[in-house]
Amino acid sequence: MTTNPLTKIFIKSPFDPIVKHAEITKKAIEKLNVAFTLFFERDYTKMEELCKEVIDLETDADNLKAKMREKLPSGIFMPVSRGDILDLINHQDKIADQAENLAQWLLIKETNSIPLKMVEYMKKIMDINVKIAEAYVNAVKEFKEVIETIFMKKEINDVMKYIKTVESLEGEIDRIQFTLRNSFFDFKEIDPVSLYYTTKIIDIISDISDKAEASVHRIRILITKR
Amino acid sequence: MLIWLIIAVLVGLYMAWNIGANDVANSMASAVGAKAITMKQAIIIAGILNFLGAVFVGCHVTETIRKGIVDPSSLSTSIVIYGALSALLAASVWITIATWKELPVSTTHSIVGGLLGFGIVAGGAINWIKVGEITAAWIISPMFGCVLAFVVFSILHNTIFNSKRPIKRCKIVAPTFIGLAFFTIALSFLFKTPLGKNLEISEITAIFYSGIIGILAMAGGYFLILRFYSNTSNGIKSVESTFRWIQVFTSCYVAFSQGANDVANAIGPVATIYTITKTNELSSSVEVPFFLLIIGGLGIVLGISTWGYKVIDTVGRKITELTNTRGFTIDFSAATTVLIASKMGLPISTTHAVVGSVVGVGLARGLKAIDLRVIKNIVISWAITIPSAALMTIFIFKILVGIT
Repeated sequence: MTTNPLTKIFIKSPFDPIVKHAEITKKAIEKLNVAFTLFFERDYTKMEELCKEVIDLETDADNLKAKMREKLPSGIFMPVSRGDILDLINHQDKIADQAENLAQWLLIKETNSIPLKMVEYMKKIMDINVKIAEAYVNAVKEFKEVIETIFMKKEINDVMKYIKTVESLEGEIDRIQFTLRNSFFDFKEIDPVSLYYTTKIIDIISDISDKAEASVHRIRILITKR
Repeated sequence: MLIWLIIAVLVGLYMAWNIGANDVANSMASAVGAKAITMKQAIIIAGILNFLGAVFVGCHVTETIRKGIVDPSSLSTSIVIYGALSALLAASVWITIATWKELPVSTTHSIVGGLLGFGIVAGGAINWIKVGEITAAWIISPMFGCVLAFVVFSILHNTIFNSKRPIKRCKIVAPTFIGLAFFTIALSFLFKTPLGKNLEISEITAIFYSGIIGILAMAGGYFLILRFYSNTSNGIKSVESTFRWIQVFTSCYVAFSQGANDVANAIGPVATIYTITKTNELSSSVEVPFFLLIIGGLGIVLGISTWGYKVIDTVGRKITELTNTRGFTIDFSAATTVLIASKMGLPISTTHAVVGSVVGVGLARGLKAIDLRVIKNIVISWAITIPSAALMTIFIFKILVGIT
């Protein structure tokens, strides 16, 4: 219809989809948290449903990630570097990946294999993960604002506030993990497979926070590079 | 002879139609996309302002097309008629092919390519210095637009958005730009124009009058903004909405400049033929007839109303992420670039001036994502257009000489 180059020069920015992707991730973690509680209550039918929803959400996130990458051709020019944005997308997607991973392990439904002493700690980690997810989404939303306001100081400070929240929450999880690790040899009498199952789940739930922390570090790079 | 003139006028009208159909989106799309004006308003504004620009300032570039690129003084009258007609025909055929093949070619480049072909086939009557100037302008004008847009947006950003009291700053900065734009427009009307001569205005007084008009416009803008602010809330949002109605005005600015620069593409060769048929000599000092500029202006208006609105709509939908301050910056920078080029008699591509300005705002971090591959496409189609239009001109010229 027209050859006017203006139809081609303006392309959709990746910043809205990144926020959407983070929101999907947050939703997955919230559902996962409910599933986690149900797992220990041995309410498997409801848990199963939720786990499947988490798996579906991860698929949505994956699709969105692929779409975002497709829409970032090498000729794109943005206020931040394309490489840094792709890096953020990459890291952010790993949060949802780990959520899905945990859902898969919960679906094995081996609640009995997990030593009772561990349960409270694990639930606590998962609760913190929900808080992290919330702070993370806010960080991403504010990051979008930073871009829109062309790196306004106030907006940068807002992002930094959320980044620090994520970091300190992740630190809390690290400390719990440390306690758990120290008590590891108290469970010598447990069969190795059960112990493997337990440590696997602990590893994954703490990894969720690690991935979120890695992602906020990407955001930090994006907003301080000027 | 008359038959050639009639054919030339018809082909010229087609070229003008093309400008209206494909290029007017440059001036209106950002305002429509940012919802500063409706489609109906856009068509009316584009129509009137393109027409005014074409008629009142269009003569400079038309002169260049008419006798700046190919020096007709050493050629016979019939050769010049065939040459001008071939160039015009070739350019319009090339644009039609390019549109069909979806190549972003410029009408300006096509007509200049056509004239080069004519110069070659007619035996090297090309004014290479002028060609050099024009080529330089094609490279410099997008860069100028880019730098201007970068500077304007950086000024807006640093004085308004980064300040603690954006509205207070906006009330001073926005009218300054309005004043500057009016100064440039007034200057384009009065400085070295037939109108200026008729009114017996010297160059210095032209600058003086334009300055006064600029200051008056600035004051007018200031009071309008004051009035506007009495009923809006504070913050960045109201800065944007101020620029929303300033955009109506910058769209006019672009449309006006566009008419001034682009009408020559359609009417320049026609003017050549007209002068010959009327005076039967070449080296006449007769200026571009007013009525031809009117015909060109009407052709552009026709293009806008029959097809251009669709293009405005398409482009407008693509640039919804463009805020009003960004749209303003792009329009202001592109229009200033085009108008300056027009005053210097340099035929440039308005589209490229706009693209340059978009990139400038992007470099100032004002746009979230732009696709720079467009620039590569533009360069490629530019490189194809010149030889294609030239070769086609030579071909048509041979046929015309052959049949007569």
